[in-house]
Amino acid sequence: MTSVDSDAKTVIFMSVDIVDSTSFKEKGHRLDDDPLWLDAFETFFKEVPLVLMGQIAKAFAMTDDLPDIGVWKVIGDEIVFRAQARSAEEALLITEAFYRTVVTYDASFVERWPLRIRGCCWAARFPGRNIEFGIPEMAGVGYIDYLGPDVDLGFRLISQADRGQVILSMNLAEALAALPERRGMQFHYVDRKVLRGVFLGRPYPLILVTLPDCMPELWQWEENESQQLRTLHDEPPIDAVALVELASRIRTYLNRTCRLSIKLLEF
Amino acid sequence: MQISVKTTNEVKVLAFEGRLDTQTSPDALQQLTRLIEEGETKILVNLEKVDYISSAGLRVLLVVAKQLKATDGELRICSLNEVVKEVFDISGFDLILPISASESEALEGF
Repeated sequence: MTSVDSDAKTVIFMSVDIVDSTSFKEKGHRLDDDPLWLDAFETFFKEVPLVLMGQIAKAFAMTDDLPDIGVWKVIGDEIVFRAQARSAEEALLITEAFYRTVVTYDASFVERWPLRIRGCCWAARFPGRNIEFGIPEMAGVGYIDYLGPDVDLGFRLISQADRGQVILSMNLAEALAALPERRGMQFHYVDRKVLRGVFLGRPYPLILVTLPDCMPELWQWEENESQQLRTLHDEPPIDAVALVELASRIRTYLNRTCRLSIKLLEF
Repeated sequence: MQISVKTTNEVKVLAFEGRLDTQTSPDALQQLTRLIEEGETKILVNLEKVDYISSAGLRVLLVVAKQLKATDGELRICSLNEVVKEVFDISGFDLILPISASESEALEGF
């Protein structure tokens, strides 16, 4: 394992996966034994990265440069992208592009298969609590890996997102909420949950992001079935100032109780 | 990934052949950026013989389009085959970059 870059950087990770894919895969085979789910999964893996790049192009239409962004890894039915954000403003545009990708692709995907998708967007600072490194066996293909508690967090957090939703890590939500101009982005504090292996079992806030011009389409039964979706539908978004204050209090609490020294996300 | 370069009416025409993906994109970007640094302002990329273009390949085209725009230049794309056309349709890049059906049509547009 070799460290690849000592320069400080903030990486935004974006994970998108298919909800309830395990039960869908159990549903049977064609007569020729091709699994019925194969088309759906092939389409998902092919199309989502392309749709995201299209949304990146739109979000960054007025900028002179583009972030370094691409697929980091594919795990089962999950695609994880990584993008280096050089400022909170860039992080906002990346998050917006990812959110629009999840919501628009969810709507088109469910028209073709009885499947929904969901996403998670989180941020980690390197180096420090987290490290970026190369694996000698995969040096030829330029594969870079990331490890650390802030990286692991997202993989726990995505399971908390519901159909068509994008959930944010607290550090990213705080950085975006602190921006004076947020391109209409709204935040919803819908719950808090204990995430396995995260912050020594302390509850972690679940914050969803939405854009009023691009809301996920939900069936009534989906809202009835999920407390999180009912909260999203019934409660107004949390005020940005209140979210920044909430995140600050939670960070102080986690630092004290878990003996950590987590700081405000830097770029 | 093979890239052949020629000049027609002050336009650098690059014909890509093979896959433009995560592995080949860095080289493609390097070649295109070098042309811009040498002062080229009109670049046409012919994608007729491209087997597949991934999101990393789309990013290269977008970065180059932005680099050229900053120098009052222009990137045009031409001759999309069926596979590449589908990628552009899915991503929405057919509405983002100027695309021509053929090289001659693209050259007329500069």
